[in-house]
Amino acid sequence: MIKVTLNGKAETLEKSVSLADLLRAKKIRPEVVTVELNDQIIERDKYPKTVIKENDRLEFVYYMGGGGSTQPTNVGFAHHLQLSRTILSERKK
Amino acid sequence: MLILKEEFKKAIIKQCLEEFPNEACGILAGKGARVEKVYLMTNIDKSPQSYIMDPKEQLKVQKEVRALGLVMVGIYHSHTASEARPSARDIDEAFYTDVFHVIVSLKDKFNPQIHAFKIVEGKIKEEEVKSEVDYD
Repeated sequence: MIKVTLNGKAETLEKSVSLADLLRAKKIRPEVVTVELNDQIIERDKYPKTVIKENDRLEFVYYMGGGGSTQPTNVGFAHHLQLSRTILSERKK
Repeated sequence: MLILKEEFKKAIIKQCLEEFPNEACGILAGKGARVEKVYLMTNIDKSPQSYIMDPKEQLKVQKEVRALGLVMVGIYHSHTASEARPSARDIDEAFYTDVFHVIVSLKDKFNPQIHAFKIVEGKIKEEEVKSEVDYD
């Protein structure tokens, strides 16, 4: 068992797991969440290889977007996700 | 029912008008259904038809809200040319299901309208927005 903090609350995990597995267990789609681990934002393609360990501090925020457009949702959402990733990626430089 | 002081309504409308013609967005923090703090957020999409919040800002606000002993009560954004009702995109992208989704319509910029909704699994329920006079 390991103890971590998620969004400020203590959680106990059965064992160290990858971030991808943790999201899967919580039924959270990886594409709609931004994850910060110990004050570092984790890129989505690193979720499978990022292992959660004892005392890790996690923050999950869901994608927040929308708007009054009549554009088809899937087109808009794909654009939004890409923009969101681009912004995060630029912030790391 | 969402309790939103006049002071906060004015701040939200002011931001929405200043961001026009782009959509504006923000987070409402408080306790229960009562808003105690408004976070004016950045629309990184900078579009008159859509908004996206900056995930880094969201993380910062989430931690601050928690540190203040508050919770996220709602998310708001403006519709620059349509009614204050959730669009198909608003419904599909409502990943926070336990908060009020507040929409400010600037269809008539001289008479902005604020409406609040709960959106759960594609179903919309309009909620009353109650004003309180700010007795400062």
